[in-house]
Amino acid sequence: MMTFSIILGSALAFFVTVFRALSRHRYTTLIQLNNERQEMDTLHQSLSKQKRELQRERTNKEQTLCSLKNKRGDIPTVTVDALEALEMNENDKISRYLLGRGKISMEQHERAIQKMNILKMDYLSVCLTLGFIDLETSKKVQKASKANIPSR
Amino acid sequence: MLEVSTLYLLLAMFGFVLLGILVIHHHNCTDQVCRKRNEIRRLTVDLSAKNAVLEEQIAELKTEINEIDDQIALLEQRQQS
Repeated sequence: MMTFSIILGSALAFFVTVFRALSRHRYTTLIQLNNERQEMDTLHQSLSKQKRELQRERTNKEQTLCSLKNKRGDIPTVTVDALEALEMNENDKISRYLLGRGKISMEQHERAIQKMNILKMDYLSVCLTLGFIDLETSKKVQKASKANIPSR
Repeated sequence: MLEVSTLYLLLAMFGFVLLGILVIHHHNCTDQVCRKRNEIRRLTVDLSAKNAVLEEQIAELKTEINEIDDQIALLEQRQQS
């Protein structure tokens, strides 16, 4: 009976030890793999964030550059309030507004003027079609130009 | 009371049951780890490709920003002079 008890106890002890060892190995391996995944995710997120910041910085600097170029006297710019005082057509107003705000560059302005006759569209639509401005900017410009109409 | 030979037979059967449980548990653990490892490997390959593209784009953006900085500095110098 004594031998029987010893064998049973040893078998149970062996079972528990091996079971726990297997579980521990699985647990540590999964944690290690999760850490690797988190590292990769973190690296990807930091690179994405860096890219977004650089794009924002580039946009700001391009606007600064456009403003500086316009200040040099390449093209006289006026504010939206001053636009209503001037007698000019809608396209000129919009182009001056966009150039003044640095939304488009001189090259883009010239291309838009050239394409206006080909596409048979107004200046704002051409800029939007060619991707020089986004929809939000277009709406702002339209709002600004509409705000000027009643005061004429 | 059971005979000794019957008891040892029961003990042997119990041992086989324990061994079976261990084999199944080992199989489950290995399978789970293997699936997770494959998932991480796929993700690593995917993210590595994306990161390489992002690094390239970041380098291009930095170059562009430097060029714009140079142009701004040049324009500011011209305005001052």
